[in-house]
Amino acid sequence: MGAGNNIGSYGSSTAQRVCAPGCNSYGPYCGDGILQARFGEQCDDGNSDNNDLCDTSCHTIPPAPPPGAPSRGSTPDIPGAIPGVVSADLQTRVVLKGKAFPLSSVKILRDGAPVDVVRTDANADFIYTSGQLTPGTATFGFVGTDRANAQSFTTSVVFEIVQSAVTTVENIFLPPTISVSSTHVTPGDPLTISGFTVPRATVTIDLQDSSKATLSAKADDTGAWALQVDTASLATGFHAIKAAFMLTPFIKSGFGKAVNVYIGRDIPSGASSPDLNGDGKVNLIDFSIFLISWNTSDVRTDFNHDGTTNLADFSIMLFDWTG
Amino acid sequence: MRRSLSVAMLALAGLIPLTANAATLSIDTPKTSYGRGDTFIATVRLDNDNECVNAAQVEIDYPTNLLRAVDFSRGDSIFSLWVGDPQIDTEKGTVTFSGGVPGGYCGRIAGDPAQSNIIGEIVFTVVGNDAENKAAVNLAASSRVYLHDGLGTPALLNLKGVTLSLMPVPTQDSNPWLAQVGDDATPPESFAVQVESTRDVFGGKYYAVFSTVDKQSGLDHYEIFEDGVWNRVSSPHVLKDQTLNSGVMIRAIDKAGNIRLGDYDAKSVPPRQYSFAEMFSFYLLLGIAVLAIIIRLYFARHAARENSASPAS
Repeated sequence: MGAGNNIGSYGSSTAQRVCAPGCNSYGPYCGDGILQARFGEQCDDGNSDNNDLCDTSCHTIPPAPPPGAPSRGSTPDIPGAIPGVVSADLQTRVVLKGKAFPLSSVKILRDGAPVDVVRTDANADFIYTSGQLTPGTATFGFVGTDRANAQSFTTSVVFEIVQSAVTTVENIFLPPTISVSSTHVTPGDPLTISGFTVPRATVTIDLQDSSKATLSAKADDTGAWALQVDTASLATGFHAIKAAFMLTPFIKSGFGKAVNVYIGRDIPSGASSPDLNGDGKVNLIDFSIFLISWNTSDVRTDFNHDGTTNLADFSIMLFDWTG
Repeated sequence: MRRSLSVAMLALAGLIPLTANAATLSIDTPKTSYGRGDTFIATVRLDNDNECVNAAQVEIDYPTNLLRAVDFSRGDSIFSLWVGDPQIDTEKGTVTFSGGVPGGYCGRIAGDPAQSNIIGEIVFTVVGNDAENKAAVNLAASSRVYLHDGLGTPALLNLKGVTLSLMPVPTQDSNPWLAQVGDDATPPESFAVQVESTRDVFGGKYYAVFSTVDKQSGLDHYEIFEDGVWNRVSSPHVLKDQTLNSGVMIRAIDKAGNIRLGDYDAKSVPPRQYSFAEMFSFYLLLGIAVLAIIIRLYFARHAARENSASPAS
């Protein structure tokens, strides 16, 4: 296939196409049906026919106007327009404000990758000010680590970074961290659920039980909260226990990371975790390992046990993402 | 002195809803009428409608006798992770892609000047016949959106395609996609190249992991410098040079050809992990070597005893 060096460089026609390295495919070329604007293509209709709307050099051929149609004018130049260049002296930054846990740290993720770590004050407030950013849609994620070294669920916001402006986003409230005294409890034995949140906030705990019961606890001045649960009344099986906080009707979080607790005598075989390399994080490395098993029956990446590593498992990985 | 504007938004991250509503995948175009030879950008949007979601797989159908999908842009997408590259099949008339948002997407935040709900943009060219016609660009029923609930639950989903009126003559003087690419002088975002070794992955061999985004025309592909040339590559990639002596150079290239070289820190590379097969082979060879030494020593001692026991002649 092809001739010459197999470097996959651009070919200006089908005849000029060049093998990609390994010679299993061609590099980009005019006639491959893909509009490669970076190589000056105005069109690419996947052929080398000159008698259609796209010529053999991938330049547009306007169709002949029907008889009697008015002629088409040219686009006027716009005075003073400077296409696509952002002046360097205009700042494009973001300021992000919210609440996590008192005197602890919050890891900031931008588009899934960690970019900074900020500290919170005694009221659990944090503020992050970015450097110069590229305008456009961005996802910022926040992972809090409390004083007991427990991590929160990743809270995300998606918004447009406005060019030449300081975009401030407030009211980013991280849900409480949550820990349990044991992940396997015999019915009737006590279970202690604890964590950190905003000082003096009310914590609502969802036990994901058939009774639909929710419990609550009050955080102290240090943000610590704890609750002892009578497990005798809970159904046998796994319970995904999660917590949310409310300080005022306007300062409250959604439910955070769920902790699985098995209530019963014999625990079923363990489930696999999105932390595929076991380093305590769920990040790009785990995602890469996950992709290797895509559409296979690999049990390590089939988190929901439906027999295939698919988008449902990807969704579970994104839920547990720590960056 | 020029001062920056200030834009305020309220995340209201606390208002993550608990009610189950239907998310909506939709397609829109700047106009609903195009002519033969026109190129336009169709935007695929995800409206969460009070539901936090984090991943989607999307399949779009279009009539191949009227339209041709010529490119796909991730430039404005809220997705930062993609399961493979978006696929355009010009024979079947389909565009498919899958991606997600770490931490989930809970909708537009108050004050955001943009809708911030784009998941992808498809560039179409009208190739239709000379007669006026209608072209429907639809979202296939196989499309899925998943809730951000840690359980992999599919969201209830509404699908909204778009129907376009096609004329026999062009309706626009310029190609908006070429204009967008031409205006892009900014390279992809800076990114780290991590080199890893995991016992059960690629037999413990060193592999590179990388990901970035481009906010303008969108990311096109990655390349790695190996064997003296730049080769197209995707993450994860098993490195040819397992000694790592030649370094690791990976670059991201956007649709406009702007290039960003990834940051590689050789000091962050973990020790090489060996697969069980390699460890088994190593210990087998070690065992054989030890056994050979023992046998040799045994025979040497035996020969020495025989020599010392035999009477002097």
